[in-house]
Amino acid sequence: MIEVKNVSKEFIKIDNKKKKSKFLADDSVSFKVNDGEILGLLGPNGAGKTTLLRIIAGIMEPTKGKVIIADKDLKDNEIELKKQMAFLSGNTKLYKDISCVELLKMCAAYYKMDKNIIDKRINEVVKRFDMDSFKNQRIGNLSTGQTQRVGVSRCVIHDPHYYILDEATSGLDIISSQVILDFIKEERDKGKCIIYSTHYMEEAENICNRVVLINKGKVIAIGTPKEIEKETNTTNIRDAFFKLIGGAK
Amino acid sequence: MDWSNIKITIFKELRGIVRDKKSFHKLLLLPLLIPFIIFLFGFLSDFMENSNYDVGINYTLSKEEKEILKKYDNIDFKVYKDDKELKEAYDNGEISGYIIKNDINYIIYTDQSLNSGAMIDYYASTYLEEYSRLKANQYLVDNNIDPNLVFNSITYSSESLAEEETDSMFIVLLSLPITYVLMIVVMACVTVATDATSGEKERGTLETILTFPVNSSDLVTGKYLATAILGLAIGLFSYLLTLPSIYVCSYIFESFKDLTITINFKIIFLALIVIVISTLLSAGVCIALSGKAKTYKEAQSSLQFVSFLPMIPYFVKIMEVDNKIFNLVPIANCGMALNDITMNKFDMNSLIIIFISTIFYIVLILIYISKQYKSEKTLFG
Repeated sequence: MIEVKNVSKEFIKIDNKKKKSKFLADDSVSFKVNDGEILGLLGPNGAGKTTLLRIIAGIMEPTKGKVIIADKDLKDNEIELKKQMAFLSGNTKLYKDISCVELLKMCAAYYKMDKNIIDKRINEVVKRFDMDSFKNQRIGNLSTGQTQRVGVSRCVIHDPHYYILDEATSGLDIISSQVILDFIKEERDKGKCIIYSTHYMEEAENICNRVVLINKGKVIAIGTPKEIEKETNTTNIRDAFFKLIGGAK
Repeated sequence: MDWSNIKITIFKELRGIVRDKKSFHKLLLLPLLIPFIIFLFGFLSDFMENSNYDVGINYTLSKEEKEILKKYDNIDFKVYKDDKELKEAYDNGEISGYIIKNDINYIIYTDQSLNSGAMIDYYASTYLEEYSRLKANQYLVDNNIDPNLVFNSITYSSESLAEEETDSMFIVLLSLPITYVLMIVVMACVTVATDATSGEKERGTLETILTFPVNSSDLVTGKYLATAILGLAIGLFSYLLTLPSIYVCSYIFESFKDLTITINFKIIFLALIVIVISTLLSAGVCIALSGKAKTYKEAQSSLQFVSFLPMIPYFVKIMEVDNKIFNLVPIANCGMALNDITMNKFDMNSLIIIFISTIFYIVLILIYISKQYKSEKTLFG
């Protein structure tokens, strides 16, 4: 289980006149994600989703609040917990001058995987994401869809329990997106704990057990898509979101 | 410290550089230029010393002048009818300079921006000085005056205080390739450090690596050591090319004849220490400065000045400044030490100051970069 407790993140903004001002990217955000659940994190660009996910993934520190994973404080057990986590974002890029297999070997080494099982695990992952035809090609020579598959495969090489996925299907065609979405559902069914951020509301409605709507750094609703639609008296999450922020459709 | 993570990071960074063919070939090419520069310098020095210069004159050389000019075997005089013919011959390139005599006045015409002009001016002035002295001597003898009483009322001579007789300008010029060795070290460090820090930020791979179970201190140590390893490899390769090149040239070229290069264990050992500490410091400075930059371009421009630090000792040598204070200038002091060690003219006390100050700077820079890599401003720009 992942528990986000009153997490706030403050940044310093510098305007054109070089005047500094503080702003909260995330403001007292709290929620829980259970094992065997996909929690959708929904909100427009600049809502604070990426910052929040970076905090949960342990690559940024919160200004206030804490993240508890498997009953352990992330701050005090960062390295240990990171070994069970996978972070995939549309922004994270891969090393272009190495092949998929070389990348997977490097990741396996960072995750301290047993040397005897690395090759076997790489073969499994290559097979799972249908990468056999390009596994020895340099990543820089692959198509966007192939690269994203390599990106996912590097996340799963160590068989993590916690997935933090930030707009993982952003910019992909429907076939490549479906490969990733199917994988996420499979992992959920295996009892894994998944946070899935997207600004595609319909996509979230289809795969998420529950969703957190976030706007301007604040949580504005939490629940199953049906519960939120019922509360807001709407028929879909998109309409519910606009109703909650009081904006136009 | 998790050395296995540090090793993976070092391997990752070095593989990245080796696979970036353009950068890697550039780094390999820089040391290979050293023997070429030294050989070219030797060849040009010999060529300048052995060149023949044609000088036009509008008068016939006297018996005494011919006698004096026997010493100047690289100057040939050609007689022309008048000023106009001399100018034409100069313009056509038949002669490299000319002397016009009008009664007892001689005017030397040369283009001193050219080496040939400077040499002709020097030789012609020396010969005319000697001829003038001879004429004065003859006048005094004709008038029954002892020339010694006039010209040698005092006498003087010069004695060299140098342990080995070597032209100081020559040593200054030879310090160029040694300065170049340290410049190459810094350039190698700049290439690896910019790629490992701001390059990784710009390509978006820094976020990927931060998701792994790696401490930021292990990450920055790996990047720092990768930078230092490549800088050191290139630096040693450059120095090992420099020493034999100078040594071989001292047998080939006349102008290198007086130069004594001693290659022994002590010199090589001290030189290696200097290269190691200067590389460790350069790598730290490059990681610290490029880590602050948001883009690859910004990092390269902020590191440009570091490449010029090794040039300081070269200017110090030219200006013959008392260099004690420069023993504390980071990177530049290592250049100075490497120069002195190679020429076997080092002062052990200065070397100790240089070693201690550089190790102090290395420790400071390592503390700084380990703190820097905990800052989100550095990691995410």
